[in-house]
Amino acid sequence: MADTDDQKVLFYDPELCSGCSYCMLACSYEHFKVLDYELSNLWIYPDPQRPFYYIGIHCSHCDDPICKAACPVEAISKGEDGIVNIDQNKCIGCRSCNIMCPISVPWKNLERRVSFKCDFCKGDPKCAKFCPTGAISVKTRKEARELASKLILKAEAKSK
Amino acid sequence: MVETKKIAFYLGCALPSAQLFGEAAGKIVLKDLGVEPLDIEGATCCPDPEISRTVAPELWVTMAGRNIALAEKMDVDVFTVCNGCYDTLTHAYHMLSEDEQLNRKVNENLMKFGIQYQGKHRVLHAIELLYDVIGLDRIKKQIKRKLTGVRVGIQYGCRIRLNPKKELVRKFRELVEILGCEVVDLESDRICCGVPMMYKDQKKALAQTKTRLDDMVKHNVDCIVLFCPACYDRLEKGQLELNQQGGDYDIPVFNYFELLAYCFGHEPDEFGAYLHKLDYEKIFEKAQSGGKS
Repeated sequence: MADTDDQKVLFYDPELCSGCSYCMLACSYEHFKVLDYELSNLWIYPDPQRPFYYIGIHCSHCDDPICKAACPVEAISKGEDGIVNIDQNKCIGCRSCNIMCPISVPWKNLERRVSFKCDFCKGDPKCAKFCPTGAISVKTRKEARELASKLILKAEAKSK
Repeated sequence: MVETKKIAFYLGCALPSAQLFGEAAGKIVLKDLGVEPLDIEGATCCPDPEISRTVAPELWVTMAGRNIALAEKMDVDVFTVCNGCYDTLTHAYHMLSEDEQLNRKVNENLMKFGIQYQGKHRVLHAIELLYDVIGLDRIKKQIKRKLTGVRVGIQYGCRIRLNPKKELVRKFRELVEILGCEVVDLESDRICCGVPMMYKDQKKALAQTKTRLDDMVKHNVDCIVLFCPACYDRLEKGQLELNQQGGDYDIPVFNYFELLAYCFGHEPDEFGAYLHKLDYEKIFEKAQSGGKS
């Protein structure tokens, strides 16, 4: 498995996000061949605490994924590249992964009756590729952690 | 400063169809500045950097390459006012310059039109043309009257933030400042106008536009200035749609070239400002009265 520090992950920068939500449409097109906010594996919401800012919710492809641990039929696996995937052929749609994930990333597709989540688009995430402001980008986990720490410090300094 | 005598004006979709004042003002202003804008004969949609690029990436890069190649045929650089067109053309430019295999494939397709993509000329945003190529000093020399006392909100648009090294946001702000108006910086300057949401959810799009407009109203913005025709469309139509639902929005939206043409001494009728759907005259009246409305 990829060294956890070197693993590629998505990084969301709220300072750059304009809230256009095109990432969600690009994601739905990649996975379902339709442009539909309801079929996206990531979400952009207005930040209730900061006007004109947004919150991006996306899978972190955790080192020790709780969604994987919660799955009763072992439909969730963490690959050699560190990407956490759901095998829809094995999934029974019980929603255990949806409930256990601290940010509820896996979601149940009611039409197909199974759960879906970010699969990192085979290494080329379309949300990052089509983001018009560069708010979503692909970084190593180490880089993402460092950038996130800087953003938190900046936000804390601003609120003082 | 690089002297550019002729430049291809890539108009995109909205300017020559729904926002003629933007095209007309652009051509008037550039002529005043000693630059001859050339039409690109046979140019098509850029195509848009969102849906087209997502759905048909090969067709997207081929059409973009064709548009650049048509400008190259005239042996000049090309510029555009649209943030979306700029994103598509610069993206395609880099992809075709860096990926030999893709370049060969696109050129095979372009041979059917008797043109070749060479990548010899630059693709510029109107901000780069005005700020970097023409220069603020040359523009300032042409200014005959100012927008004194007019509170202007700037709609930068999403895509000019993509390459922070080019500093297009800062440059655009400076270009607006030299018009002598009061630039109103808002926290909502960074948010989307709502255009990408129109593809799927018009209610969501209108709510986004309303968020932006409400912040402008709250801070007594007299008018909005922008380059991006997509933002123009959303911010103007958004006000009309909200008014149909009982709102009372009346913030005219201008292409930057229009305000520049006015400051160069041209009358709004010369560039077709009467085609605006919101009351634009009050802005020029306020400027003439030195900021008293």
